[in-house]
Amino acid sequence: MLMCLISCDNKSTIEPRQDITFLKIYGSETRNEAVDLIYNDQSQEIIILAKSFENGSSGSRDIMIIKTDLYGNNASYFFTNSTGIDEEPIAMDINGSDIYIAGAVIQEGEKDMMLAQFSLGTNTFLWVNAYGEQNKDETAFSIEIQSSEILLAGSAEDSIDIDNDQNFDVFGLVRNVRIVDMDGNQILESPRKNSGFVKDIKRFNVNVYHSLSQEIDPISGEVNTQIDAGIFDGNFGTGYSPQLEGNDFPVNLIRQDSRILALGFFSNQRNNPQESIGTFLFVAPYDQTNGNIISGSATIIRDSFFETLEIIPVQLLQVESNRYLILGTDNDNTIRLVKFEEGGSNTYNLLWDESFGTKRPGDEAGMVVSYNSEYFFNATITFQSLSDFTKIGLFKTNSSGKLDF
Amino acid sequence: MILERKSDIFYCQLLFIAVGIFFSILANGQDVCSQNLEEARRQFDEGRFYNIELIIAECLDNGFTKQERIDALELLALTKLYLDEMDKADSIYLDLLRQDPEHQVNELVDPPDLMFLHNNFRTKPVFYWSVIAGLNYSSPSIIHDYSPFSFETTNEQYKAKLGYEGGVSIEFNVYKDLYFGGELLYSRKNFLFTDDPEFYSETVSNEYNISYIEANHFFSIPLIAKYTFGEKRIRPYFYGGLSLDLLLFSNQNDLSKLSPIDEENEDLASLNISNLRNPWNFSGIIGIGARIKTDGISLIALDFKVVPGFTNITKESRRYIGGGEVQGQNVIISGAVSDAMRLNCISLSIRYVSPFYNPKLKKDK
Repeated sequence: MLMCLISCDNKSTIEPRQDITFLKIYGSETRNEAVDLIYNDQSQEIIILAKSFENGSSGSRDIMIIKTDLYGNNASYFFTNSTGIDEEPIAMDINGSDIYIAGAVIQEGEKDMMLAQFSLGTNTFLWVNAYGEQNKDETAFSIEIQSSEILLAGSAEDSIDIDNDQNFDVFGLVRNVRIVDMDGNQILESPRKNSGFVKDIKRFNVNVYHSLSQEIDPISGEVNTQIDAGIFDGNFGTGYSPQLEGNDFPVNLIRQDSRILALGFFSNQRNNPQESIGTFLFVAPYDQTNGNIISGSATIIRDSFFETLEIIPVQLLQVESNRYLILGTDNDNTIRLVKFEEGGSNTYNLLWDESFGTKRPGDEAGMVVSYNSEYFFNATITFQSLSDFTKIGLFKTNSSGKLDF
Repeated sequence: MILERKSDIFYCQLLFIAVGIFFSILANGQDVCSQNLEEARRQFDEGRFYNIELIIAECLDNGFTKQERIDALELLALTKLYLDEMDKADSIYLDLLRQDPEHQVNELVDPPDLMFLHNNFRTKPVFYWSVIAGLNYSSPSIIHDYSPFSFETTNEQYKAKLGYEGGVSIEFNVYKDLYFGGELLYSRKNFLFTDDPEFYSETVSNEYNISYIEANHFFSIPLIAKYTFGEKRIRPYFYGGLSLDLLLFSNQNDLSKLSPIDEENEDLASLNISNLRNPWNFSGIIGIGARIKTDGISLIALDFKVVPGFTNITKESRRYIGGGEVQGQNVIISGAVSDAMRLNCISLSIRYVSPFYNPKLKKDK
């Protein structure tokens, strides 16, 4: 020990503890932003989806996948490394040993809906497909794999008939859903009649979906949230549009006990909101036989803690039978993880509310997954004042939302 | 005017004469007492013990120099011993020891009776008190490793840095040359942490420099048992013990920002991580040193000790919080997660040591 003290050059070679919560930081030589997260129960791996890009550099945007073990170690990195093409990943879903990634691909000024396949077995990107029409930008915000089909939902630019007089009045964003097979071949493209975009989608059965959309009034620009239930060859807009004061933004939906629970937030900013003035929860029961939302039964939960929860949420997640997590970023740029439970009769009680990050601009929450009463979530972290030094943070908390144990 | 000046000169002359007479009497008195001491010694050597006290009695009250007085007391005590007046011998020798607590007898020169008399008294200091100032060199030993980076990409290093310490101590003589004591010690213990984790790069080495100097400020209460060797001018000793260490506060200073290696590092203000550290800690102490006698009664000691930490200084429940209210903030700012660690230290100090004597007859005489 004396020799050690005199030389005093200790390399910490002791193996890290494997049973604890953690905060890990990953990245490449470029700017990295967290997007989505999956815990692969089969391989006990954490899979992080991220963007990798250099500011202002066309063609530098790649899909970035980081795989780590259950403890955040042994990280391996994979990139599309495509030349002349910018990929912008937004969400992913897992099917066996393959990851499917939705988002947008930009090539020669054309922005199309993107679907990419990544093999977890060979750790290679098998293909990156683009879906869209010329001169009409399109983006997929949500992906769901069911019945060997992939549901992509998002937005597309198109002409909009506002007053249903068969004349197209304006050109703007409309909702769009595409169904493709597991090899990326398109099976169906859904109607595009309503202005706005689909933020999240869940398939009820082969033909029926539930979606959470954002309406955008093409004239006033007012934005509103809407829950839809429809069939793939039918109309959007047959669902439930809660009566809110406007500038309400959808986040995602989950289904539980014949109800759709959808999370949203309010902002004073109409486009690209950076600040929140409260959150809300839709609760919309649906008919279990056909998936239709039961008319007049939907409720908007705005009281209790939702009203004062001024965060821009990124995900609502069910973690126990009647308990849920919300991950988001508050107006101080602090990442927040909130757990609440349903107390019956549409009452919801806050269990805990934990803060993470640095309180500096640039910290944004990613997505959260649960694992044996522990919660993983990823986040984009910008270090110090270096706005370009933006890396991925992977957090694992215990069931109390604590990093410490 | 002339008369006044003459008067002033007269008084000055008178004053000089008076002072001269005073010192002359004093010197004369001392000369007389010196002669008396010589006479007493001569009579002692001739075996005429009964007059000795009479010869030196007056000078014992006033007239001897300090050394003469001590010599006279020793002579008188020995005289009483030979006259079989044991109680008086003890009383006189006690008086001698009070005036010269470090009085030594030389078994080669002094008579065995004096040695016998000397050994009847407690002549060692009851306690020593010291003022301590020193430098230390601290480095942690890792119990469990933690990192905010994928473990295989990290290269965490700890390097000892100089710190300092100061305080006071007291040591009581409990048995022969064995002392038991305690200290009140402030210390600042520093170490350097560096890491250069590799982020992914296809082209060039993509390392990032992370470093900070951690300063831990302790208030310690060491309790030690010390064994000393001899009463010579240089008195070696060794000791061991335990220390209760209260961590007052802890900072990470000279933080590097987590930035590419080729970017100019920009120092940050220090990060207070006191809440990340356990306030109560224990450590062991093993030390050696030597007291060096000065011309006076005090001593100067050079002390070297090894202080291995026994407890984990990291508060496990605050690892990702530190002093902040937002979880992970301290980790993102410093680029490091505090390992579970013990803090070890070596220290070299200089001590001003002052003994406190209280001579008295031993009970088991």
